[in-house]
Amino acid sequence: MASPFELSLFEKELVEVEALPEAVRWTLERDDTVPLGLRVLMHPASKPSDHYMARLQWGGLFNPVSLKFLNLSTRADNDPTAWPQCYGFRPGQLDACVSWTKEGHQLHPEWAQSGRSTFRPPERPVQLALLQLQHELDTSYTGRGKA
Amino acid sequence: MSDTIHPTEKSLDQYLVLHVRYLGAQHQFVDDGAARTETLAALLPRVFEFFHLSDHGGHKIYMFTHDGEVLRNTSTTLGEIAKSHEKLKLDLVEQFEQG
Repeated sequence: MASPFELSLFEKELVEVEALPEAVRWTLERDDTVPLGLRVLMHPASKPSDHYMARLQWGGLFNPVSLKFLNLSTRADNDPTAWPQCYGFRPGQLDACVSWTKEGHQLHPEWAQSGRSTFRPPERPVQLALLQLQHELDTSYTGRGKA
Repeated sequence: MSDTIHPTEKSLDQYLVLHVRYLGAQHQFVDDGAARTETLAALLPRVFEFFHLSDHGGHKIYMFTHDGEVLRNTSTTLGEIAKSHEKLKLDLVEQFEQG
């Protein structure tokens, strides 16, 4: 359950991230199925025609975010071809096994004890998730996930 | 936390205005008089101090990026990255663990 502080910061961040230089490349919308959720349409710098819709949901705003990619037409979250192939992303498993995501930590509970993999709660969780995602698309993208 | 390290008025052919953004941080590191000859390796400790980060023990890997490109050569100078521009904006990115 999100605290009033988390809800307030989330609302504030939704406004702030729209002012980021990168935001001109994004289409952001709320995910009203959860208190702390959004969807964002993004593309890699190297392939502007490759569009991906990420769904970001936080159980707690200062915890790693749940990341899924949605089919652009159906919004289904079980389509491997809706996923980009980036560092740590596993389209076939429909997850991103990296230490900034909830799914990564669920697969690797030992990361909580590792200095390198410990998730340091950020001051701006929404900004971090969006910029980290854009960073991966811009620097490690190799193509669309296979069916 | 202050946004500005030490505002100065210096010659722009020797110095530049540097902004470093750490992806999850509220404030940016700003140096109005960063030497163009400063390398990324020399810059890193100053940025770490500002963001209260540490690489003690080599647990975390951090890297600078510029315009969406990772700057892997830490001997590169700020002037080489900025070229003729008076301002330079870098991101400090954490390399997260992959499972």
